[in-house]
Amino acid sequence: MKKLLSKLYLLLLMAFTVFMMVVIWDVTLGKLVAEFRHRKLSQQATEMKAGQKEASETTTFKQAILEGEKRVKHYLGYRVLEQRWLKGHFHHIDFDFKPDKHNYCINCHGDMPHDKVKELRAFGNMHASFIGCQTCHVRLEGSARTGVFKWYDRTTGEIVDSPVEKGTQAGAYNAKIIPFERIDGRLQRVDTPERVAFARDYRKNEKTLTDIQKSKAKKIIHKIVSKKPYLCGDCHRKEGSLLPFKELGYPQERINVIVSTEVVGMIHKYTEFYMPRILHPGESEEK
Amino acid sequence: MHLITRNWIQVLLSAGILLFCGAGTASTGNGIMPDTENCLLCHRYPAMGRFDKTGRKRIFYIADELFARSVHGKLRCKNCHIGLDQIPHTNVRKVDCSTKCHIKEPSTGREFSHINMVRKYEASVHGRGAAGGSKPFPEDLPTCKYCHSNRMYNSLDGLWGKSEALSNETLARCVGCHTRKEWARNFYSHFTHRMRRRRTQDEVVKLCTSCHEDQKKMARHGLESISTYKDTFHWVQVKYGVRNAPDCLSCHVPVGYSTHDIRPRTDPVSPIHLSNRVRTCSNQGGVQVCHPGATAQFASGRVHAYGVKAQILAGEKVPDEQEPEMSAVIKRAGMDISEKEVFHYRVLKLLKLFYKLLIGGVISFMLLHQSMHFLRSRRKPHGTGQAFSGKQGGNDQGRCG
Repeated sequence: MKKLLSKLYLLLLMAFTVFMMVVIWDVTLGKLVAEFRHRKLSQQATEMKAGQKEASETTTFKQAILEGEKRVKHYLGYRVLEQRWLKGHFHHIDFDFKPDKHNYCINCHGDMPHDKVKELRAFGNMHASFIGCQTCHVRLEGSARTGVFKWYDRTTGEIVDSPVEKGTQAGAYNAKIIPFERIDGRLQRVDTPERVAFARDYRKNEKTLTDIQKSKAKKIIHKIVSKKPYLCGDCHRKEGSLLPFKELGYPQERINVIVSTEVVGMIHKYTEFYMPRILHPGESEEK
Repeated sequence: MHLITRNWIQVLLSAGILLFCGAGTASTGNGIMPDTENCLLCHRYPAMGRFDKTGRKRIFYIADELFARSVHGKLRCKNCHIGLDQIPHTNVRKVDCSTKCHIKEPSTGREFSHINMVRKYEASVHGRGAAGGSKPFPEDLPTCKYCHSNRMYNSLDGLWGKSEALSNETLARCVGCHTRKEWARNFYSHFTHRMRRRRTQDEVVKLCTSCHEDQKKMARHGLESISTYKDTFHWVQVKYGVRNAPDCLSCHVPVGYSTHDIRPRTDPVSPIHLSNRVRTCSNQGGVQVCHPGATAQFASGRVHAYGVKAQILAGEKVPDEQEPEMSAVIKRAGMDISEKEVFHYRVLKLLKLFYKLLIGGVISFMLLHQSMHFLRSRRKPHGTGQAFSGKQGGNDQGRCG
């Protein structure tokens, strides 16, 4: 026992010595070395700035894009809140936008894709967090049109049960709505494995493709996208709604809100005053 | 017996208060939030937002529970965001903290506004200058939002340690006369949250350095980056979490001054103006006493180490000297720093180098010596090593026996 203790003591002493060595090195010779290195680096940086523009461009890119990935902690008095840092944002959000790993559109368009029509963009993005792009941007015609919509998991991509339950926060689901089409009598998701694979391959080989090849690939990827997307009123209506809310698992209370006079009336007002813009998204931004 | 009754009363009282607090917390969900305009119909969706022209992510989501617990929780959206009446909100004005927000300020009965703070701030070193004054590079100056977010009220437990009991006890006294419990709780939260520092020392340094460490930005205004602070013992204390360690505010905004009213050191009002420094270092109104015996000579010493300006005057090479922003620093160097200080800088630099080499040398030699000693003691025993081997032999014998 005594031997074990003395061994332990020795080990601890050794560890402590190493720790002290590191500390002392840090504040003495280590600091000199660091200063020397820093001076060298800053000299290099000045030279690079003088010689190439590339260096400054990377900093701008870093500042603009990667700054948004910072996280901040706020002590709220009763708990610590950690959230993504948003420049100049005053209110606390306490919500993380988990990226949709399955959706292949957002690889290029981002998870906040709507930005053209001033009056619609925020609404579009708000819906895009729980409605798959294809739901509005693909108009299934003829026999392909099934009227079947289901929820898919944002991370796995698999079809899941409805996440909409009484009391859940609206729009904060880990799932999105995707339409189903009928091809050769078979019911299938609009985002078929082939389409997903094609888009992924395009992204992978984008750098090696020529401009002509690129536009050809983009044409194929966007073939199913219709020029005129479904608009607010197609779902927010008392009868004949595009989305079968009941089958998607919405409780009656939520359906009542979605098709309430408040919402529908607001949309009506919108279409009345902003009709031209809504029908031609992005064209009359300057007017 | 008397004691027992009293205890029972206390238990009942605290249970009652707990119940009432519970009710308060529950009702913060949607109850307190004055969402009479039904803004949350849309703004409760977390992904509501867009990227603006500059590429900044804008989120228009409001976490209603957090908002209700915040210092602005009693306000309506349109009290601050003026021009919301129309959907889409195309005519919304930028939030101006100096507008009146229709809440009655109890001491005067007038409509409340942050105008007093804004006025003070605009006249301060960080402000855009009083009435019509303009400063170069106004985009560098921090706005209200740079330092303030919509802060939450503290919970009842924080102020007196880990327990809510004392807060509840105090609140119980308030409620005796001020019978609207929600009002009393809000009022209590309001003044207790003012009694504590919002940020730790480390966080204060982080906030200030988020601008003041940016060499280019500082150089535009003829200032040095704050890396010189990090050479001080003040910073070392903050870094290692010493309680009450001096951060930026301890000297630049001592007791009795306002963060909104920071002045340059040449301003006679400034706490770091030569005439006020003894007081700042020694005794800040009896509340904070750091260097009680500080003399005028002590206080006139340089707190931040000599930085780029002294380096420039000493004729040394400065990494970013060629940058156009540095011209303002070079211009101000001669104004701010005397020849005596340049001499000090040189001596200090030599001293620093000497001590670094000395300490490093001594420790390295010690380590070398110790490791050689260790190696020697591991060699085959002879001389002094015999005692050790003898002991070992004894042990072996013992084991055999």
